[in-house]
Amino acid sequence: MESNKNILEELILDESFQNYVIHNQEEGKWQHWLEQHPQDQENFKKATAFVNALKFKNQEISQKQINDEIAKFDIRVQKEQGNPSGKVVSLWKRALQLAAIVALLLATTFVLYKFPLYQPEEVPVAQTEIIIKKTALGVKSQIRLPDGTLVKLNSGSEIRYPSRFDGKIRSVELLGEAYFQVVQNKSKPFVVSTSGMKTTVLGTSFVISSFNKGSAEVSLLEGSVLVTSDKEEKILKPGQKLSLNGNSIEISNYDYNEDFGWKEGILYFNDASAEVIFEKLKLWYGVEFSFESIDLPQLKYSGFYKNQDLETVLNGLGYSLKFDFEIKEKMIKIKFN
Amino acid sequence: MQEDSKDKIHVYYGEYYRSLFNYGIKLINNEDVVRDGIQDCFYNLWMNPEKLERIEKPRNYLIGTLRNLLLKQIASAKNSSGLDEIHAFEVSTQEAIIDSEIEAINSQKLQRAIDTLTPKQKEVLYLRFYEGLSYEEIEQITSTNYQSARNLLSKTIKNLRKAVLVFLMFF
Repeated sequence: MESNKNILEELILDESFQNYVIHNQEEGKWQHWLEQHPQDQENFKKATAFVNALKFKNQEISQKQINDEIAKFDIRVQKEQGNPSGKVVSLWKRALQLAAIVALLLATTFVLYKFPLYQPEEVPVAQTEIIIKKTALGVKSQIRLPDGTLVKLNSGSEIRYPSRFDGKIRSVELLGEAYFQVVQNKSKPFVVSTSGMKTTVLGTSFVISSFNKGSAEVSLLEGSVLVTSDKEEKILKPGQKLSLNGNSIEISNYDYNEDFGWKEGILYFNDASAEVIFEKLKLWYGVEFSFESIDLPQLKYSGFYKNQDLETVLNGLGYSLKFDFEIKEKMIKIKFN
Repeated sequence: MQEDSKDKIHVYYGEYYRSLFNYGIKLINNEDVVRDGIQDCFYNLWMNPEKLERIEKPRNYLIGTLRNLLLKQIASAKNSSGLDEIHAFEVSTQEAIIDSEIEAINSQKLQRAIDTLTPKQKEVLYLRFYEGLSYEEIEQITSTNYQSARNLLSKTIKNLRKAVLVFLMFF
């Protein structure tokens, strides 16, 4: 018993162990330690819990509170510096200061919409053409941009980019959904324009999707990103999602599989309604559905399919949601029992 | 140039405001005072562009500045001459559940063990376990005020050891 306590105490006071719990450092070393000391598994768990308890309770602070403080700061600077230009903040300059790795995602339904290139005065340089890449429904593709940035384009999406990034920024337009691994270039921010807003990043990887005019979503995986609409500017933190709907902007937390899963072939439903499910399948597999009755049943479904064909998915869904189906090429008949 | 510094400070707000607020509120339990203190930290940094340019670990620098500012205020409010005395550092432990099969840590009892520590020691624990700072970084943040940060750290570790022992009795 006494030796048990010693091991527990030693673990708690060990700086490397603390770092393992606090920062997830040297995971391998501690996994190995556990394998070597199977009798101390209990102590290991207790020590982990102890260190976690010492992280202490802290107050939640919303992004809005922080934005309010930033606004107060700006006002104070303006007042005390007598700096009339204080309010005019150059977006791309601010973007320079944002952190490097970013992941985002935008939007929902399916109306194509065109918008002007960001800062068009930067664009017209001789021999720069605009390249358009499209994916059909049910097809995903991978593209390298002129700066080396990797883009994974989801089904039914379109991206436009210049054959050379000549201006002060790297500007692309997106209709639909895409994952970006941006090559870092601090002096040339990467800007994605989608319906109603622009997303500015410097970082290395993010996802965007925007299908619908006037509504869009950005989900941030890592780093930080600046989102600007006509009216507002927001800086997102990792784990946050920004939804733009008409004029209202909302920030919430996202579900990773729901927003990012598609790029790994994960079809994911989280408490989804029948409408949402069949809409997603349509996009994912490039098929059409017909239903025997006009009203779809009121139900909620959660499920997870990785790299599965349509028939497997429909079998799984049909079992839970109680429907039969008949596949005729691209047309699928659904009959609820 | 001015715009660049301002942008930088905006980013620091996003990155460090939560840390600063949660640290400050433990030194003095008054949200307005802490908020004003943080504003002053950032404003001072803005007024010192050279510092802003060369700052290596903004989090540590800002926590240190906030600490000095708040301690000065507390001292003047108390009319005390000991400018850098920490009078309180109020922390409460996280409810930590080990495993559904094993009993949960009795956080009340752990709390009692921690309450036996001095405010300085609690501060060290907080910076170590919540902010995840190394002992060296903690020393840097507090050394402007403490003659011997090293002594304090070893004392804290001794006391933590005691707290650990107290804690172990409840398993």
